[in-house]
Amino acid sequence: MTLFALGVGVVVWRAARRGSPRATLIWQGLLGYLAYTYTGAAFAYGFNVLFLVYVALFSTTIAALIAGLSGIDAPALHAAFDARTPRRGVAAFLLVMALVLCLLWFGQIVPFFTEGRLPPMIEKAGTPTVFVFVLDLGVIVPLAVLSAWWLLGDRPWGYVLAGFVLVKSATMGLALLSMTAFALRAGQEADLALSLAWIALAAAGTTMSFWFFGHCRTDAPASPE
Amino acid sequence: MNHPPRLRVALGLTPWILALAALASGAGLFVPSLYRAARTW
Repeated sequence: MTLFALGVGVVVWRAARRGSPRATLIWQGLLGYLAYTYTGAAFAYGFNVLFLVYVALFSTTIAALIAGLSGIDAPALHAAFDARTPRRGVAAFLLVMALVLCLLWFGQIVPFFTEGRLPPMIEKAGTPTVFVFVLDLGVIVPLAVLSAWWLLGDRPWGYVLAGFVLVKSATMGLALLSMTAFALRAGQEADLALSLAWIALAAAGTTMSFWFFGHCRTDAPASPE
Repeated sequence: MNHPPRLRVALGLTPWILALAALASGAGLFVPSLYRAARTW
């Protein structure tokens, strides 16, 4: 999945350099996907020869995201979307995605407080914690809710963040789906509820991304000259 | 295209990020065996 994202990354990076608003948003979303993936790798993967590469990716993707998001011209990107942009549909998807993530992860976390039972993902992985809980509940869910809120209010940053979360959800859904497929091929058990959630996330995230970005021009300047 | 300085920084970092991610994902599959080969050689 990451190799596919890298192929798309080269194309949208080149188009973003030329000033395409659509490519600029997708490029930032792909950086978000890489930041999420390699933050997890740096903090949670077993120590291996690629550790320093994970650290470098953690550092450079966070730096590029901060520089990129603070450097883009949100009103110009907002103006690149047409009047028929499906704000309500995308906002509804983002809120449903946030709700599903909360149900999935709180369903594992809350029993610890009520019954003293460790989350199944921690028991299965044998790790002290699960970085996915941290990044999803601490970053993705708040960003999804905030972007839905701002998108419904037709605020420029709503379009930027919604594009960011949509790309992130599509790429992450596809990545988790491919990881599940590889785990099944290796003879490991897969959680049916989680697998169905990843299929839904991948399909809905990709569809919503095409729908949303289909209403964004590719030729307008992304930032003032 | 004249981009604002901070956006230029992000655009400039991206090829390095893509190269590192290629190393960590696909090309990275070969690194452990190369590493072992280099140690035993």
